[in-house]
Amino acid sequence: MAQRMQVAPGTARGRGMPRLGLVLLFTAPALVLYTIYVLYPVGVSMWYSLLDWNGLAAGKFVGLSNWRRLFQDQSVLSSLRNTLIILAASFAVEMPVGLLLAVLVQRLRRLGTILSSIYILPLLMSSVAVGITWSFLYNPQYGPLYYIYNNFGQQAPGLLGSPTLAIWAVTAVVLWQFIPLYMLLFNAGLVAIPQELYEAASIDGAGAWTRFRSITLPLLRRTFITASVLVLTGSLVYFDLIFVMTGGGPGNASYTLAMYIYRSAFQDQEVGYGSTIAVLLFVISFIVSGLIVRFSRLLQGD
Amino acid sequence: MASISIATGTKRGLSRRAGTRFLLAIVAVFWLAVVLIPVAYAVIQTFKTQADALASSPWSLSSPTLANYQSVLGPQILRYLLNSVVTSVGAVVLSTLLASLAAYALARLPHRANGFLYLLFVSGLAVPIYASIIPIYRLSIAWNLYDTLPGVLLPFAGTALPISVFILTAFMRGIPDELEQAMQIDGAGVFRRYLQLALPLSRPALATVAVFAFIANWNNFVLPLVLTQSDDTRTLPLAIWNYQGQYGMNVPLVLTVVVLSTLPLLIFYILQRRNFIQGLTAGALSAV
Repeated sequence: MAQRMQVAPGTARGRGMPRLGLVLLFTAPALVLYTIYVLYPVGVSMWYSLLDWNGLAAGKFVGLSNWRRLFQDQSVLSSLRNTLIILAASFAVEMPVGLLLAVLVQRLRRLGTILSSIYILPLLMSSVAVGITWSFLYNPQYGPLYYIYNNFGQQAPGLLGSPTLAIWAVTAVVLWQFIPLYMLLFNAGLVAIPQELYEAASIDGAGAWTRFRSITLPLLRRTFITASVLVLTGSLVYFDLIFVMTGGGPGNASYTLAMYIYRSAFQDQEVGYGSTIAVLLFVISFIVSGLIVRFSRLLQGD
Repeated sequence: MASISIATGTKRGLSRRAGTRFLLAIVAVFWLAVVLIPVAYAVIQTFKTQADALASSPWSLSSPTLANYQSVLGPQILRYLLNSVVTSVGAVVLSTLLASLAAYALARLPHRANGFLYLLFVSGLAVPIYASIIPIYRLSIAWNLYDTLPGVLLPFAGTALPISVFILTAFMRGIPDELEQAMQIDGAGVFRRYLQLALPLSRPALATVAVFAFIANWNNFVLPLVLTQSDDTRTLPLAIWNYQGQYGMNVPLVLTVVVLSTLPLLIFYILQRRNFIQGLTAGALSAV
């Protein structure tokens, strides 16, 4: 700090310490922690993905054989398919219902505020809490489903134990948990639309639907982009909920990449292969993010 | 909103508005049921004995009991609560402090290297935690941080940095230059300008970042799952899962833990509604 006086204050560059030194001084602590927990793991995973390694003994370099295995792995395919199911359901249900609830909450004013406080409840629960509650709800032996079916003398379906239905049962819970988040997002977007626009349109004789279509929807474009980004990035990383509800099963029916990484590395002791899936997840995430940055610039026109 | 009706005062307009209102009311009630039925189910079971829960309808509550709460509320769950508080809050303090320092330099100390450093931090937004969990586990073992609270706190903080730096840098760029120049003319050094100008003016952004990171940490499951094993270091989400593993058939007991573990965020939400929602949506709103 003693050097500060050497340079006249207000000059374009240095105000005391060399500028680069200052920048590094301020960023270094964050940079160190960030490098350890974000950058280094990505880099070293790429190396691990070339090893046959149980995590205990020394790893053996096997070149691209993990990668060859990855591209023929049914569980990877199944994970990707499940991710796509969650993704499609999120687009088709979370966004429209979120928007509907946001409009509803806004139109009901005072009552809407109370409603939205209740609607938001699922967001306050951790995914683990949500997952466990729903696995009881789905339980065919003692859950509410059992009682409903029992009234009709039928046996309740074991949704989470079914290879075809498990992923849909889990997806329904994903929707239940995250629709309120989209309600909040669209609500923030709706609040930002100037009321005068609606008033002017009403005076011109526009009905509710016309106003919604020609004012609300276009002005929510940015919010739609935001919500799409959230759907895209969020869908890649489902873990907690599925982990507690099905553990990925039955078989690999409800796997996601995140779960498969965990299982390979921490349950099957295949650290090399787990890292290969991790790198795949990273690459997909990176491509998706890159596309998002590109498209959101295009769509926003700047 | 009331002004919308000005032009639709005709009889047809009125009946149509009534129709719309009726439709909205149906949606409102329907979604209320969708949200509340599972929540009500969970809460009702917590007041039953295990035998009662298995024998009676999920919706009846003939002989309510507090036994589940009595058996769950004890030193054990307080320990989990404390672990969650220490790791979540500690990580928030650390990541917000470090991110604010970095953001100040990136936003207010122009240098050629800033563009690169900023990109470096922000590219972390594209790294899912699950992609880095294996190396984090190995580091934790190598540095004797495995099964310790700092071993959970540090990755909580590290993984919160990209978004924190991103939001804070954007906000600090908006601080008017005149304010900083005025302080500079008065002889204020760069650290004083950070402490007395940038930090106080960035309070809304700091709150958003802190709340976002707190909720993410509080609910985080995979890091404690992989980085801890003993009862002493267990956080709440892990504890819920563990109760389920241990007392899987005892639905009321497990759901009591679920309900209790949700209370802290519920209280936080009731007390800090605005900040809470801002923090909750921050991740999404900053992603574009």
